Amino acid sequence: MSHRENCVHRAAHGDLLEVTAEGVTVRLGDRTVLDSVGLRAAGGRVTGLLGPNGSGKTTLLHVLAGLRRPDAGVVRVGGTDLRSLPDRRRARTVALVEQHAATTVDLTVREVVTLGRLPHRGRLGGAARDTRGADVVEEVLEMVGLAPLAERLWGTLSGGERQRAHLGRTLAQEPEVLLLDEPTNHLDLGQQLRFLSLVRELGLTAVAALHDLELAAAFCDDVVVLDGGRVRGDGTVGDALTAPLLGEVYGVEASLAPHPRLPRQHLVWDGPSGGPR
Amino acid sequence: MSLRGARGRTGLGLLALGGLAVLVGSCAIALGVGSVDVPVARVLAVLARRAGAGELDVTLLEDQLVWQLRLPRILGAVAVGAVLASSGAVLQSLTRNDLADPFLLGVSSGAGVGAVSVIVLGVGVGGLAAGAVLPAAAFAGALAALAAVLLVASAGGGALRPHRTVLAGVAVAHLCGAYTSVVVIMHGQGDAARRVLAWTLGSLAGLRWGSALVLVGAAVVALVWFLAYAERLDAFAFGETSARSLGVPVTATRWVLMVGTALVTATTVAYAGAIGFVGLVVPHLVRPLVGSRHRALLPASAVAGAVLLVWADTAARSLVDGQEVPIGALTALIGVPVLVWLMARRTVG
Repeated sequence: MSHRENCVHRAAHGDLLEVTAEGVTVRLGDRTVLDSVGLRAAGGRVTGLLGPNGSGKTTLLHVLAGLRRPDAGVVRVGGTDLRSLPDRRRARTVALVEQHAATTVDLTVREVVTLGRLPHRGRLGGAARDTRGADVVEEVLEMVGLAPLAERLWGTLSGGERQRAHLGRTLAQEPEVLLLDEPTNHLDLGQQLRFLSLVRELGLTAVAALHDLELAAAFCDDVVVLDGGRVRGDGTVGDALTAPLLGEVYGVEASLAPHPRLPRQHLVWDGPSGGPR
Repeated sequence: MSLRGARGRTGLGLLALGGLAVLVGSCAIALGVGSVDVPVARVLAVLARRAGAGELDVTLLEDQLVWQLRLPRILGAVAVGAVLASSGAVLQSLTRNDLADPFLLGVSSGAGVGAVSVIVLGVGVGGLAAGAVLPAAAFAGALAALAAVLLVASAGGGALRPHRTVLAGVAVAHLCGAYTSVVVIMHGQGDAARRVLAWTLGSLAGLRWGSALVLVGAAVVALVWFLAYAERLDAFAFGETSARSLGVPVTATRWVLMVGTALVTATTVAYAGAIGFVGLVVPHLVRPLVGSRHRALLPASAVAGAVLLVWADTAARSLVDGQEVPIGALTALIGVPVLVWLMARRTVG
């Protein structure tokens, strides 16, 4: 079964792993960055991680990715404590699309995507054990629409192409769970919509930190709203993004309203709280 | 020539063959060149006789020049060039710093402390020939400086963060430099200052079979060691977080490779002094040809570094009659124009 068929098959059978965090606390010096955060990202659904700048979104994603050990609390993927997984096994379970991962190293698109095969290779870097590697890379290049650009050098890519290459690298890891840290920053609107549509189509369990509430309303099934390192609201988009919550967390007068043409809700804002209408 | 054309498997294979051919050819030519020129046919006769191809007509002088003096020196040049260039490539990737070179961790300045102590103060010379003491003292100095840098750099939790490590290296290097300057100025007699400067710029003049084989051993160990980490080094391209999310144990990899590059570099410094420029620039010269994946970059850097040093050393011993030109000056003299040419073509920098 191909990588993509495998994703679709598993999504249809509901056996994609869920991610849960319980009581996750992270301190930096005397500052509490995350304060007993709990989260449940259901299998096969896209969960938006929302909140203003500095609310702890990136830190929480790093904890969910197993890159940072929380001072308290536990993260489980499909019921398994993330800390019990060895590094390479963890990298085959959870993959992270970082915020602004840049490089001056001139790699081709195919080489960047191939980096994702690293956790599937032998400990000494031998390709012998990764017999499917080349096929997966080609398939991933197709999935993210970069097959025609496979030999292009990183320095020549647009922002949108770079983000798709990063997504391709994480997909080549064949993870159970995809984590994305503000993946649409610095992309123009068309690139943002295409990128998030692609993520939705994958059907993987995904947690995406997003800046833009409108994008969250359009592309997420569920959301978790962080503020000052605490969870201020969670649930489906419609249930969680209430006018009082948006007012408290973002200081705006805004609410969800039915989309004029599509069967979903979108964000309508009036202005900053107490500000001029 | 398409600079990216060599990235394919066949392209890299051809380039590898070409590189090795250039290296072997350079060594063959270098064996014949020097104060007394030996024609290539006579060089081959000397080698064939030594390889047991029967009693060929070889003069004692030819055998002495080619087999006893030049060959160990050339093998040493190959080994030192390979070690410095591949170490430079490893450290540039590990620290994501284009200016990283094999002396990043204070190895050369530490070796300088050991060398100056012997050359100027005569430490430990009693009875032993200075020629045997100098490499030992330089190696000990290099290890001491490495230990100091690692101690300072890892004080904040052991992660050997690149910026912290570079800063610690600079600090220790300045401390060592202060000691070296003070000793030379306060206690230097006769031509001590000139000898210290000459040592600092490096020389392969003292290499005989014993030291050459140690260096070749160090180069083989270094290449095998670094190549085992080739794919993990690739993962550092997008930084530490990205490497860790790919399952690379970042801290352990940094320790192993930083200590590894420092140890093999210290070995070269002990015998040949701190030959600059090779480790810094050769990786930059090679990347446009073979790309940035370490499986190709590391061996290509090693071969290019070896070729550069073979030619620099040949020039060092034959340019001026009866005197050695500092090899560190020649590596720059040969390498800088190439670098400038590549920068002008915008394939580097």
